[in-house]
Amino acid sequence: MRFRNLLPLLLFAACGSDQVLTYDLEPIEVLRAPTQPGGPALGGLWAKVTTPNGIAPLLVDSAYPLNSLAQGGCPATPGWTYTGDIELRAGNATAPVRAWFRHVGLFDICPGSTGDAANQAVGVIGGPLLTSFAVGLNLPRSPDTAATMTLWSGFPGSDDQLVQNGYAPLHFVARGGASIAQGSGEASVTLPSARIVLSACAAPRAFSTSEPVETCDAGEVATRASGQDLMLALGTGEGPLILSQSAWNRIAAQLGMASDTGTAGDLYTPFSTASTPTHFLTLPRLAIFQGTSDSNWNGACIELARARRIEWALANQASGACFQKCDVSSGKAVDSRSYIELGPALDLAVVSDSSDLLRSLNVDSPPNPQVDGIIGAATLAGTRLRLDYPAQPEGRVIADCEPDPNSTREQCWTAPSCQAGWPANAQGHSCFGQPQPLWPRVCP
Amino acid sequence: MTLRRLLTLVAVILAAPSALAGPLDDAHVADTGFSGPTSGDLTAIYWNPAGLGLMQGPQLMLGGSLQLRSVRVDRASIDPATGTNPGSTTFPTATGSGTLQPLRWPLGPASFIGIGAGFGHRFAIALALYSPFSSNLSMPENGPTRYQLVSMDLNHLAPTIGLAIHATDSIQIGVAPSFIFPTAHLVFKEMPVGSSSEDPTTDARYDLATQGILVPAYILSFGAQYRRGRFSLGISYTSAPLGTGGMLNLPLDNARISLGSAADGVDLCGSPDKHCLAGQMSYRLPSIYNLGATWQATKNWSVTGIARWLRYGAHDKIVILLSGPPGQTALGSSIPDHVVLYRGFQDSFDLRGRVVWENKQMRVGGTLRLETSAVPATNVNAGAIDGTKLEPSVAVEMRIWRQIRMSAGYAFLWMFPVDTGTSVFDPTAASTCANASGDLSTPACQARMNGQARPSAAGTYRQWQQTLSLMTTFAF
Repeated sequence: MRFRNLLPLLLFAACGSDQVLTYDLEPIEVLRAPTQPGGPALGGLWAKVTTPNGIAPLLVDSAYPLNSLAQGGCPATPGWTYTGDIELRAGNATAPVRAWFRHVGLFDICPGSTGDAANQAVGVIGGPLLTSFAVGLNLPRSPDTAATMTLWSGFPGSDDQLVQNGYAPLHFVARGGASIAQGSGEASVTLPSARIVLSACAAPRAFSTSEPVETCDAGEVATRASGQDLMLALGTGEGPLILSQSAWNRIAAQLGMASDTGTAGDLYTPFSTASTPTHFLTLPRLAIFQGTSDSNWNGACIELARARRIEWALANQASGACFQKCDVSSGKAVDSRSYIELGPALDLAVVSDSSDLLRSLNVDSPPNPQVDGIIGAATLAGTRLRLDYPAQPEGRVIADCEPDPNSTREQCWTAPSCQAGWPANAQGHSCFGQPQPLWPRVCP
Repeated sequence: MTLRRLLTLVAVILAAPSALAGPLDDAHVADTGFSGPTSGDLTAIYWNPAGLGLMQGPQLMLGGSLQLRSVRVDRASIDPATGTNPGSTTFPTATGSGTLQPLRWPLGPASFIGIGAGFGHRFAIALALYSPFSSNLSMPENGPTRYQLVSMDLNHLAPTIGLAIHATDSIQIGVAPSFIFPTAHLVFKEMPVGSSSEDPTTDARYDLATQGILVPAYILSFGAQYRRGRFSLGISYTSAPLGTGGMLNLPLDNARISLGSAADGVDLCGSPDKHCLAGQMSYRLPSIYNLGATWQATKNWSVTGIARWLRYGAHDKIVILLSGPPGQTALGSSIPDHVVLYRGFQDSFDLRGRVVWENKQMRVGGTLRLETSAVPATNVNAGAIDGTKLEPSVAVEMRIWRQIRMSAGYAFLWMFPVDTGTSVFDPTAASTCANASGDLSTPACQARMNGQARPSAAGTYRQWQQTLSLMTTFAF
């Protein structure tokens, strides 16, 4: 049968239809694959699934563009698409049944290995299925503590409520609407937009509220920023932070490092059945922001620098600190953007721009700005995320740091939006974890 | 002030009858004992929008009712260690009450305001405001039913626009889209996670309410009416909320959890003034089919039969999700951050027979209503009390001015006592499920998932209700 004859079936498989999703609202224990061969078990998230051949690993990957379950096990020749069931089991040894997804559109293909060559899943719960839920992820920093995934129908709370409570809601518009084809000249199949892509500032300078003042006159907001703006997909099935060579080249130039710095190795991701040649190294810092833009959006690194200046002014107002002119509009400080900052040495894998992984990430219909890589599960270790796909009018990632008393700001820092327009005694609100603000004056 | 004017004023302030039918449905929206799927006045916007086509000229209706509901629960004894029935712990009879009346804001249930006009024998248009689904009940704060319900006030205000046209001389068709603005206030208690002991001092009190006016859902009614000679027949359908599979999602912006037996126990947010919790509640509303036939037996006498099919089967549970500040570690660990309240409703049928005598000045009607239970006996609990019900009612309408008619009605509903037998609620299911590592293939975990892992609600439930209603119609 020619591929184009499968088009209606593939469309059905991609979109899913008449899905019946049965789940409770309790956490589902998931395992984590190694970040890289021999690396710590902080990488891609694994659950298990019932197959005709027994219980087998199943990857949970928010960046993967489709749902798959190889009926005959893996490795196998890529096969048919079909409407099937997933009996989801926890990733632990007892593997209890934790959910059923019935009448789900599935591809009968095996994903690539994850983390190292030995970690072969028989399928992937990808973005198209995850978009049905608000997916709560607890990703402890310690590989010895179990990670969990919780499926809810939505996450309660408006952005204002979440910000007041100390969460960073990061909006996104799902991307990755892709056309795939089995071969050149064959009919293509459209996959739904289900990938979370967020803005990020890579390798910004270190920051402390006790550092000297950073002055910023009107019109200088861009020149005071540090770091490199990136667009990154959120991939729970990948381990390290993965960047394209071109994105890394920009960062390396800023850091004064050679572009081929690092240790050569192989990266295993579900996007490719073969390993991807990689340079492994570490990145000092990554601040993750919203994936959407608006008329006031300046880019992740500028917004980070601005948020830091506002935080600095609030922290030092007792000693006469004031809001910098570049952060002021109509006589008051502008609202800072919510973000979460991770560090201090994030595992980074640099891959070729022409790798299957990067090409897949950038097949996007309609076309969107370049995606520079993936924020993997290991990058997010030490955080709690709610991937609130059903939120209206836009999906949102609700982020905060795990409540670990040993966690430092360098490791994880949640900065909900500081809304300077709020009254000084706004109920329960505090900016940057500081006491209720009395807003400083604007610098003369 | 003359008695006539006084009565008119009272009629405007109070209004149309409302009697609880099923746990959510208001079976007497806009009904003073005369309206139904064959009605040809503004009440048709609810019953069967095709009936609007029979209106002649402008019309205004204002109505409301006072509805007093009483329940009595004799909960079966439990084993104090496991919570299962029977055992050495006995309970006193719990009595509860609920009042529906329209004088509040947002406009309360049991009200009907309609305005519209018929244009010749061609078409009619109308606007109306009423509440098709509502429920109100308060039970003792620390009573034996507290894990199912302390208090509940659900309302769904529906601004509706109706349009009817004459398809032929004897057939009208009509459509009436509505917004549904829900409001909710629900209070119940939860045991700490992992506990099966009913100890008021360790309870968490969930006080969950919506705030202000929410984004509405949408429903659609449409119907047809056939009238020939002395016979008229009406049929209509009202959908569940559209585009959401019948689901309503209500943000709970006024959510509070307090610990301890007192209503003002220790607040989870540290202070009652703080609102650190955000919540969301979701449940399904039923769709409804209406069928009615009227036979004008003589000049003065008519008989009407009405059948309603309420598709309650979709209302299986109320799901409540809560979130608090990241530092609030109790929520989600020792105190549940999600609660499923099992409902497990079934479709119910509402059958009515009515006889009406009328002349130019007045009409008098008597109705007998029988409704099957929307809640299987094993699923009955304080939050969902229902059984087979019988409701006789009488109504009288008088022309008090040339263009003004006023009607009054009284109904008494009596529910056959419900003995639940073995309750569907299993207090041991949570711990059994935990021991099975949450395996959903086990009955205990399926019970937990469905919201049945709660204290047993076994017992005997009684319910009765009185409804007094007034309606004023201005026809020009």
